[in-house]
Amino acid sequence: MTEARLEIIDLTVRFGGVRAVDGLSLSHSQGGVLGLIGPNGAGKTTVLNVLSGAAPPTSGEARLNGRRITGLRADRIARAGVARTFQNLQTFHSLSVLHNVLVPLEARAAAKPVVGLFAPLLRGGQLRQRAADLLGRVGMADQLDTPVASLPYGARRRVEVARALAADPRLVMLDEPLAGLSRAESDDLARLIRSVADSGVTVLLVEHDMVAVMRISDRVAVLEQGQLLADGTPAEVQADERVRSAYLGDELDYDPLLHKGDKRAEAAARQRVATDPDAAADPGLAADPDVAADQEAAADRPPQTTDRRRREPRAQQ
Amino acid sequence: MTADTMRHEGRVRADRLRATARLLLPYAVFLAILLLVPAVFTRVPLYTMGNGVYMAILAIAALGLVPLTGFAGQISLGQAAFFGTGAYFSAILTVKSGLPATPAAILGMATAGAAAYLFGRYLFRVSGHYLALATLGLGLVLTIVASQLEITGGTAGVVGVPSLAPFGVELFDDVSYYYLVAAVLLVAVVVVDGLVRSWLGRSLTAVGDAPHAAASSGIDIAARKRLAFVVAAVLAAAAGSLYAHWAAYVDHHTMDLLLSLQLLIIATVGGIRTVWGPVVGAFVVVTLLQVSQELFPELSERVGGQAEIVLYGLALILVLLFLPKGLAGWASDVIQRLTRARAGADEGGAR
Repeated sequence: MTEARLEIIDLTVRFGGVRAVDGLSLSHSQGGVLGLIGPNGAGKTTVLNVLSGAAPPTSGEARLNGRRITGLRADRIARAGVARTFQNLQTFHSLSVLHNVLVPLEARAAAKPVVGLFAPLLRGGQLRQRAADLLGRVGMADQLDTPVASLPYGARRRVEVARALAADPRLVMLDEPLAGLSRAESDDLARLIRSVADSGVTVLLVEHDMVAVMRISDRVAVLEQGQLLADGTPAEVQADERVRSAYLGDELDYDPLLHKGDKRAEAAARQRVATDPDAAADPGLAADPDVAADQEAAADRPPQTTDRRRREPRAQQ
Repeated sequence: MTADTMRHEGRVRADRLRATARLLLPYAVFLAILLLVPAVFTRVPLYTMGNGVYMAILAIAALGLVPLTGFAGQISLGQAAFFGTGAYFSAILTVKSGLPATPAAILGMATAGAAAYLFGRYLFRVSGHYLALATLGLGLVLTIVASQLEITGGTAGVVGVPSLAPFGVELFDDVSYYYLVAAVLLVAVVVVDGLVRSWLGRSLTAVGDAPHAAASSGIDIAARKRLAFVVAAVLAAAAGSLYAHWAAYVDHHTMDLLLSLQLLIIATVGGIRTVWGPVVGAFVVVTLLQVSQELFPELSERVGGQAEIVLYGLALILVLLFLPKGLAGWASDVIQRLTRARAGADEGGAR
């Protein structure tokens, strides 16, 4: 599968007087995981809403593989290869686990004209098998017939991810998939996200768990007040002074970028800073040799931050 | 083939048999009840056979609310308008144009369906409770229009709607008419049950549960809501046609707002997420109607002959408070719990 080519061109979304997204331009065609971070209200979810057709842009556009997706109805965008999960967990609560994943499969099968209505009936067994396979991939194989409403939060998240994958997307957008999960659940889901990206599906990841974002992402884009503040490899972004100060304030004495919004990790990091001077330099990531090496390499280079507000002229008038 | 795989296949076959039985058993019970109604209603004091006919007609009209309101989450306060469309079409086309009853009824259903489709094209583009308000308006407007137009007979309505004679058997009394209405009800239940159990029902559920997630799963949510709205309109029109031939006259009260509310109450009290809901609900509502007229005739007179509205309201509140899934929803939960407990006991015994 060729990598999805996503282009966001001078996108602006205004809610009344507020510019939730303000002239954002961002292209991504190298696959993998694109992390989208930024403080609350930076416009991350709004970008996802525009890309999935849940909210209309005020101006600008987005293209997937050259095809304009802004302005299309949400289900058309889904058929064009964009799937998503939601920040506030949107499963089909009256349906079983299996049926939650069956819904997008059947919608796809029914999309063909004329015979479409009957396709989900004729291919029922095949679609069920595919749904069961996807649920196996997220570790839900033994709970296919469980009503989704009776599942714990973490399991519902996984069902939602399986449902997003069922649409056979080129681009999957995950809106804070790790929020509210236990450490073990979060690690499992992070591994799954990585494996999805490695299978050739581009992942756009909005997430507050910075340790996870930095570990999973191939590229990280930082939004602030609806504008692109910086983007680059995780190491580049972490090293960027502007990102640090804008995103977090620089008064903290441990690496704040890694632990913002994660109380447990913050506490752990403080602990480590107190007891182990090495960990203070790179809490959380020191255990991962690749990332640590990246970080060292990045420290030698000047930060390659793109500040599109200054560098790039607006693509459209 | 080893003994193990044979045993496994046997178990699979037994499971499948049990699943089929579970699907068909409610229908067997329903059919038995339908056939018992004439024997019971002609003998017990509270009911008449006319009540049986009226129950079945109301159940058919309320049935469309299962996919529309129960699954897709859209509230319609205009079902009476579609009911009236069917009733007026049957009445006018048979009385004034001399058309046979069947094509007249089919034309009424088609018109109601087409109207719902066109209405839905504009309504479902926006989300929210527009359908409830818009259909409320539609019902009120059509009631007034029907009472003013010449073709609908003004306030006098259309009288002398002929009785039906399917296959040359004239249905002149309530018992024989009941069998026709019960047969239509059975067919309607099967069709709607098939719809909501199919992938279309699943996608309607998805639309009702989480519209944004449904849309980004590739479902055209407006088209699904429209489909459910059309189904509800066609069923209401079919019920209206049956009503016209039974009552033998149609006037603007036939499509009164009270009927729309009554249908919603029927579906909700019975259980709006199962096809058995409208059936149970129609029984309850007609029973309340009978109770209010038989037991509280004085009260009924004092509040303008509509004591049943008080009882409807009470029933609705009680059900919503204590059995939010409705009577049939509650019953199916209880049955499920019992069978699961028994299955658990069986397994425990086998070990």
